[in-house]
Amino acid sequence: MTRVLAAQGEVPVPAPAMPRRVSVDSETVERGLAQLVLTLVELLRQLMERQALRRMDAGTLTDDEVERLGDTFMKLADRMDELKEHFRLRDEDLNLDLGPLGRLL
Amino acid sequence: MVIELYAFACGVRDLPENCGAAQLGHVAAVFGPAGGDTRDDAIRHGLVVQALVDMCAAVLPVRFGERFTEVTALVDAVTPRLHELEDRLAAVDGCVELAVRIARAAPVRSDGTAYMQAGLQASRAATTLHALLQERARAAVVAQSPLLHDACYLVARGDVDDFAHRVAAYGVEHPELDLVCTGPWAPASFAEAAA
Repeated sequence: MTRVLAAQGEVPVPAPAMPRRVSVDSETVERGLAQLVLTLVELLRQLMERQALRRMDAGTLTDDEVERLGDTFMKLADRMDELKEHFRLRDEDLNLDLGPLGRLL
Repeated sequence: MVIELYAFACGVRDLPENCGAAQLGHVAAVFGPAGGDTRDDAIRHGLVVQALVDMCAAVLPVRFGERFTEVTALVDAVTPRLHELEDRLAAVDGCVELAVRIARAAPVRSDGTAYMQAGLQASRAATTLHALLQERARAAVVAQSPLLHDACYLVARGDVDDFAHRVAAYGVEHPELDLVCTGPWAPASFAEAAA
């Protein structure tokens, strides 16, 4: 029943809660573990990128450092896309429901 | 009969089907027959609350699952908090909630510096839009989110169109952003104390 008043591009919908148990079914255990690991990698990637943008905004990074960081984040984003495709995961799958603390990402 | 509490409201003009209201001073506690705990029950709860937005001057949604054995038990539980609820209803009176989510559009990946500059530009644009929208809102709640910006705004009903047009126009001015504005919703993000 979402009522969209204005929109541009594609904005992810709020992520559904990740199941609280990792399935031990042989066919899904690999995907479940990959989902958990990639969620943590995505958390670290976002934290690092935000911190880098804050430092860039504050002018505490040299041009070389900005280039190297940007290049690293691009490669990391590309690699994450490959892994998500490999394990058939969507962006909204990379999250953890922490109960009363809310969501990890 | 076990009842389920849907919302607190004032200025009630009508009630959804099968709902009743216990009037406590200026506050109406809107309830209905308790259902189960399934996803469909939760959705039904949300639909009732959303229907109340069009039937009342002010609505404070109550989270799904607040149940009482009878109306007198509901009245006993609410009465000590009446003044607090009146204040909270006054804060949302005549307003609805609009949600705005902003993500970075598909990033430029030509070189590292361009990638970083595009990220910084998008981040600044999201911050600027939030400031513009705050001027048009009575209150705002910003959520922790992987998105560039994920917030809810308490907006006067008469300002909803202007608010939405501002978001749409800003999106046109800033192709580096993907954004969406949804609503009007019951002001759930501004009703924590009523939960």
